[in-house]
Amino acid sequence: MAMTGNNSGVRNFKIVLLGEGCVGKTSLVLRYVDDKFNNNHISTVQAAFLNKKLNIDGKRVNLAIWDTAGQEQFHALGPIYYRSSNGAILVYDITDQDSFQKVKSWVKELRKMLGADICLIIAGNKIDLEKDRNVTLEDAEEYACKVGAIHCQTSAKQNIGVEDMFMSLTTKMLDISDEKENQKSSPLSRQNSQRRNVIVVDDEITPPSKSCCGS
Amino acid sequence: MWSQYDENIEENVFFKEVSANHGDIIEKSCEENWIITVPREGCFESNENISFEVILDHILIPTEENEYTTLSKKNVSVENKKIIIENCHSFDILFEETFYQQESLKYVVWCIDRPLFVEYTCKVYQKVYLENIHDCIDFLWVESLSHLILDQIRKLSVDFTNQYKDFEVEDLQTQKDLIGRLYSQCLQAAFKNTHLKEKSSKSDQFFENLKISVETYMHYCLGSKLVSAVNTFMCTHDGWFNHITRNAKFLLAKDLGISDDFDDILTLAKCELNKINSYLSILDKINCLQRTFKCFEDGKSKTCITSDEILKFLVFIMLKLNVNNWNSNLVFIKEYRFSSISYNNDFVITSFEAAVEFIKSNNFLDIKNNALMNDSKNDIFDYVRLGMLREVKELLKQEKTLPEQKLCHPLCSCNNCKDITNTKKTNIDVHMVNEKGQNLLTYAAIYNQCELLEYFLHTKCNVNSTDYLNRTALHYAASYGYQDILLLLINFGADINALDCDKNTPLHLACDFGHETCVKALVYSSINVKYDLANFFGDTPLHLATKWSYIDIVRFLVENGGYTNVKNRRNKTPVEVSSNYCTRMLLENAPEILCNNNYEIWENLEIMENNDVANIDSLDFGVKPRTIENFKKIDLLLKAIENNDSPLTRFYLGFNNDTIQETTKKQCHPLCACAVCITDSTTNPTSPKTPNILSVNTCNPFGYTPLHFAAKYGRLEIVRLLLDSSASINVKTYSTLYTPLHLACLNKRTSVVKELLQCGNCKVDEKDSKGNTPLFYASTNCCNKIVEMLLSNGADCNKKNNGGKTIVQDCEERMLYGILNMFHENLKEADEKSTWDIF
Ligand SMILES: Nc1nc2c(ncn2[C@@H]2O[C@H](COP(=O)(O)OP(=O)(O)O)[C@@H](O)[C@H]2O)c(=O)[nH]1
Ligand SMILES: [Mg+2]
Repeated sequence: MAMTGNNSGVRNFKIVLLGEGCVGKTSLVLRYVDDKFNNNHISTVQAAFLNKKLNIDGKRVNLAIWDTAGQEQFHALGPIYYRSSNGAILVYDITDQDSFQKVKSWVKELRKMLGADICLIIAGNKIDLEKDRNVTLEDAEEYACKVGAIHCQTSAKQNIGVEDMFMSLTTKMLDISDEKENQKSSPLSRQNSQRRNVIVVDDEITPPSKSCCGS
Repeated sequence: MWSQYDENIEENVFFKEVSANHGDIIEKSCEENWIITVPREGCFESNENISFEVILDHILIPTEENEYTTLSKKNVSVENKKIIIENCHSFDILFEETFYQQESLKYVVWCIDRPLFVEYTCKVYQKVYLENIHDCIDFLWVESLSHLILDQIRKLSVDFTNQYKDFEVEDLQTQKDLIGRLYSQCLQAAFKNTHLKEKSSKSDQFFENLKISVETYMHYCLGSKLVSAVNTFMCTHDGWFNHITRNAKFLLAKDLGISDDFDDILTLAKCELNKINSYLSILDKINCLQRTFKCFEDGKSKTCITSDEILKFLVFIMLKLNVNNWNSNLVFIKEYRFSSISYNNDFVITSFEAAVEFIKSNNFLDIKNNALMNDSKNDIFDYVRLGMLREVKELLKQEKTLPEQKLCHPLCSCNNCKDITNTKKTNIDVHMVNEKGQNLLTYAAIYNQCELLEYFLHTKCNVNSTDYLNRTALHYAASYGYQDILLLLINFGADINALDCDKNTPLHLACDFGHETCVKALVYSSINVKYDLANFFGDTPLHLATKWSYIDIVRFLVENGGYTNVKNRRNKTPVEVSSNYCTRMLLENAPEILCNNNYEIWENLEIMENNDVANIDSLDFGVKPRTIENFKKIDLLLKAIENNDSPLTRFYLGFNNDTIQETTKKQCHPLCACAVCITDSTTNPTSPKTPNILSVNTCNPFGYTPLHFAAKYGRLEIVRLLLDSSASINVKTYSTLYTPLHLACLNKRTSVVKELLQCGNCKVDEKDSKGNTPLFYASTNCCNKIVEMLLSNGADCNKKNNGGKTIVQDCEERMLYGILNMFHENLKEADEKSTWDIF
């Protein structure tokens, strides 16, 4: 849990999954982290929050993947969940046009609240049901391109494109984070840290400064 | 969820050995999905101990689901993030890391807590991650090889507490800065220890743990001081939040869409979460939240819990718990954390935060309303609930017209007679009760149906009828915060000190649920109300208001004489129940006299209680309005008096129609009967015959009559008007016991005093609740003119108040020499008079 400025160089990225209920958000996470799939709409609590540690060419990355409650009743709580995320995966079901519209409204909301800092993935899930497709690939790709998101096609059921999707998101987040790191003079700052913690370098102790608390 | 342990695998001795000398194994792992298990850093001091056999033992080849064989052909299984080998030894998997190499090849590494199949004596610190204060103390003690560090942190914390006495009232940022500084000092102290310093420089994980334990032990040493500071900072938020949760107590799991299957899990989770306030440190609190979450995960129940449901669960248990400072707890956890206690837990904390937000939101009120409002109409109770007065009246009428049917013989049970007895049972009358033992009146009160309540009050419905919880309608009105209903009930003689099955009075309930308006109404509207009865748990209303941080109610009760030193069953006074500085100060600074004179007041109350409720309507007090309409009217009337609007005053009292005619259209001539004039006068709702005119002695819920108001605001013209229409001149207000003369003196209304004294029957020496006469207020206000008038009307300057002081003594203390002179002259005169009388 090296959040503080020690040298282990782990990067913590927070990823949220958003989208209408039943599009397969939970299934995608479970497939990615545990390589499991469940045909019933059932998921364990663990799936609400999963950690995945990656080591990409020597860069250590810690993905915190947050699955959200899809229920409309809780929609207003969205900002509490997605604030300070580095990436968002907006999932729609290719057989359901409405779910694609919902993705569009999420994109608007996220861009408004978090600006350009967040990496967006738009994922068309359930491509194993190609015959029932209701959202054309061209439409989706065009839209994704327009809003600066990466478009992916996945099937949690048949394990198509899931790992690639998380990989491309991670790579993009790494790029952004590298960029930020280069801009900043201090190698210690973390683009995604919510607060600057007390930094201890051997004996020297800097107390927290007044302006440090983000939230 | 994985544990919080983390290390850089690439620097691990074992892993280095594998990747440097056994590249083939790694290649194979990529191809065949083998898993490389790596004992955590510190298990092997150098690669000399790592033989080829040991490495083979640590490479797992998947066979079936959760079953593996090692390269050395031993079978192991995996369950619950643990590796289990043949002889049932189990090894924690600390975390999993996926290594990606070029060309999208990958392999998986499991970091485990000690080597598999190796006779192994522990070389590294025991606990890989710290869970609670005990772990932290152990860590500091064991790793520094002395208790010196602990002592130092304790001393720094104690010094801090002494130095910043006002810490609690600082704002958030200042508090954080101060705590941050203290934390730095503690860490510096820890770093003076060479063992700790050395180990920290070697291992990041160790360094993290050191920071966490220093911070946690510091929290522990600061103790309730820190917690109370946060509580103080958040106390209005918490009060408001508690008000919401308390009033949602009746919500059932199903109202939130939670099925019964989860009852057990919810109970477990509740037990865990209920402990949150027994912990002082952030680490322990987070751990408590985490354990609550775990209850959902390891639920034995067959149905799985989906992540969508967690939020509902959290909302539900938060509503049901008796935790009174959720906002503070979350702010504490989020804002006062300096070390990196668990990034993993962000999700858990965020979920709680979301639950709190949800409770605060309107969504939540919708659910509440849905629960209240089902619109089935099966019986008269449903009609009452829905406020359908006409239907209710009709049903009640029907009952009277039912023909009397006779049974064959008294105990007969033939089909015919059964029918008759059955219909008898469901017969409708005003005394019927529902399955909870509530009568119609109580039921109307529960559903805030003013009109119906008024109707039942005027029928012979028992106003003090109790249900099976021994609650009266007044209890319900107080607990739901329906002030109108409450006042109406009191005016119809509801027993204001009735006890329910937990020995709660209505005042207890109003305080418990945070209904300030009802608390005020109860206290002001009757002289009989007892502030300080203890309920079954020994709690007084003040205990309850304090517990839930309802600051305004606490202030009000204290100002009105709630005892601050009653102990409840847990042997705690309200001050000791208080969780924040604000309420504590209110209670500690409560007027002393109230604490010392308990006994006297108590006795007074007893005496008062013996009076019949009806006595309140005696000459001493005003007449209570008996309809909702009049309730509202008296307020308007008093407002009119305050504004010196004498036409409107006359209008409400209904004794002058000249003024009305001024405002309405003029008649052609006084006796004109032309069409226009006739319709005007008949539709005129304010003609003197209107039955709903307020009596001149009507009082508001606090006992103020029009005369009180006219006197208070010095409305001479209205005072005359009222006196002319035989307003009682010596009426008193309820709790303060002021007469109009008191109020005139208090507010220096010289001309009103004069007018009042000119009436022959004005009592000059009436005492208010503090035992003070009008003369007292006139004197202390230095109104020489009024004092003079009072004295010449026979006021006695030697009257003692409840504090045992005479007015003369009081004026001496205040050095009001002008007034004292007048007293002396008056006394002299009186002496002379009496000497004259002798002769
Ligand atoms: N055919 C098919 N079904 C899927 C796929 N992903 C998820 N589902 C099903 O869609 C339903 C909803 O999935 P879930 O992950 O719970 O959706 P969530 O509400 O977005 O979390 C479940 O019945 C899954 O079995 C997929 O890729 N293909
Ligand atoms: Mg889901």
